[in-house]
Amino acid sequence: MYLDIDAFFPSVEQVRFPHLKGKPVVVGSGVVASSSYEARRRGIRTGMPIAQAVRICPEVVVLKGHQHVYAAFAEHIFERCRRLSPLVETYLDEAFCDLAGTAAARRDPLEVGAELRAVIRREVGPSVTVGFATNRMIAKLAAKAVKPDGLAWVRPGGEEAFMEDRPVGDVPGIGHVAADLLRQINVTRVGHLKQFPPRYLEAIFGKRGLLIHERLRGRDPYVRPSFPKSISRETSLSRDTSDRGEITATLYYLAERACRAARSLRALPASVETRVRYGDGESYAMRAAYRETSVLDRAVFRLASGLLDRMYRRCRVRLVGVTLSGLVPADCEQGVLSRDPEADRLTDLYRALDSVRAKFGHSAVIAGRSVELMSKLERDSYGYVLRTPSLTK
Amino acid sequence: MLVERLDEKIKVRADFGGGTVKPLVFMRRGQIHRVAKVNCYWMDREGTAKIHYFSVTSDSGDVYQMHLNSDDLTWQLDLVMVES
Repeated sequence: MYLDIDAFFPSVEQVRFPHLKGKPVVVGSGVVASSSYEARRRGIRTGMPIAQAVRICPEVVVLKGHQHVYAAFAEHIFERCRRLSPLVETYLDEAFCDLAGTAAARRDPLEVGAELRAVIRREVGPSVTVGFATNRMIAKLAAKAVKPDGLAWVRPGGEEAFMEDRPVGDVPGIGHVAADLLRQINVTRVGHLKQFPPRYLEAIFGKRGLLIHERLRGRDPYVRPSFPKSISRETSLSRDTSDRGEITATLYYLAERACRAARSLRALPASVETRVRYGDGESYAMRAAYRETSVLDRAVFRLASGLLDRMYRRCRVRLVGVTLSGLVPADCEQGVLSRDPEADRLTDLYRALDSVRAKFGHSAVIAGRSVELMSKLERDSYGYVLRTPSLTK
Repeated sequence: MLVERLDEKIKVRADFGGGTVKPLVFMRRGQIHRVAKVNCYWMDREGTAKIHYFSVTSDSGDVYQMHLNSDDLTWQLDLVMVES
């Protein structure tokens, strides 16, 4: 079962403030992070500057995001999914639920879905779309076909027929660029692309060719990775800026968030990547490998800011991001003969900080360079309120 | 639409039946407001305390957000939203 919360941020705001029901609502600051269906009907799209959204639709209600409120609502909704199955994989506004072997799997999926949607509507508020199928890809595409506030079930055996008429861009693994290329040779539907033999698909998509060959036939050999490959945190700044203090402080904050996530998973990164996008739209990314792996905020920031210095241009910055990649479980780390006692001391310090933040929220302790953001950004218990919650991974 | 931040301690009469909390009446600045509808509820944490949030519509039609702190059992009015 796949569940998607319709127009997540605005629909939570419409539940909190019933006056907003039926009105075009956007959530975001600077750019639209998410828009209600009423706003989408007026031509407002995610990523659009707020000023442009207001020009298109002067009566639009613009609200700042409340990350901790959305997280609480999502958790309430996912909790209803866990009543059906213990195997629930959750993301920001969607969840995959494995019903195999549960009582729900023996019932009519449409009945289960209708009950779940009614419970969520009654007990939590926002509307959700639910899709059922024998695999996660079909369940998600089925839900996508009936959004918003919909319910769909692709019966076992009907997967290939269901895929036939889907646009090629709907198939996971076929991105915008590939879909545009295919469109140029008049291949727009899955049914067209299915005619291609596997070696042609390998020529177009490389290693993913055989996987896409399966997906075009409604089969999804997806296996949930037992451990993430990377952890990424990025955000656009409140406005394009050349203030090095603010840019560095934001980078420190993002490194801090990424490290905290990695420590909670007991993961160690092999390398650090820094991304930067300038006001003129140019994007750069650089990666550096560790000599001795570390997940301490200070060490990650040192590496990330070194990379930022190397990508520095005399131009205002729009977005910065940090990625910890090549993650391995901490238990698999190769032993070190002579450990730095300072690193051990810092490990204990960050462990203590993590437990304080787990209890009282990230903002309970403001550390290092991120102190500089205190005068520039609002804070809630989740942390600094960054510009675009949905664009903030 | 106007959202005003209040952050005022208030007195609330609530129904704690059936494992849930439902605010019924609250007193703000000496004036009694009846809760016509609980629009939604969500929960957050602050240290060991559970914070129960409610969005309610009062009998005057204004929408308030209030919360109950499970540690010290105090109620606070967070904000009010009025249609401008």
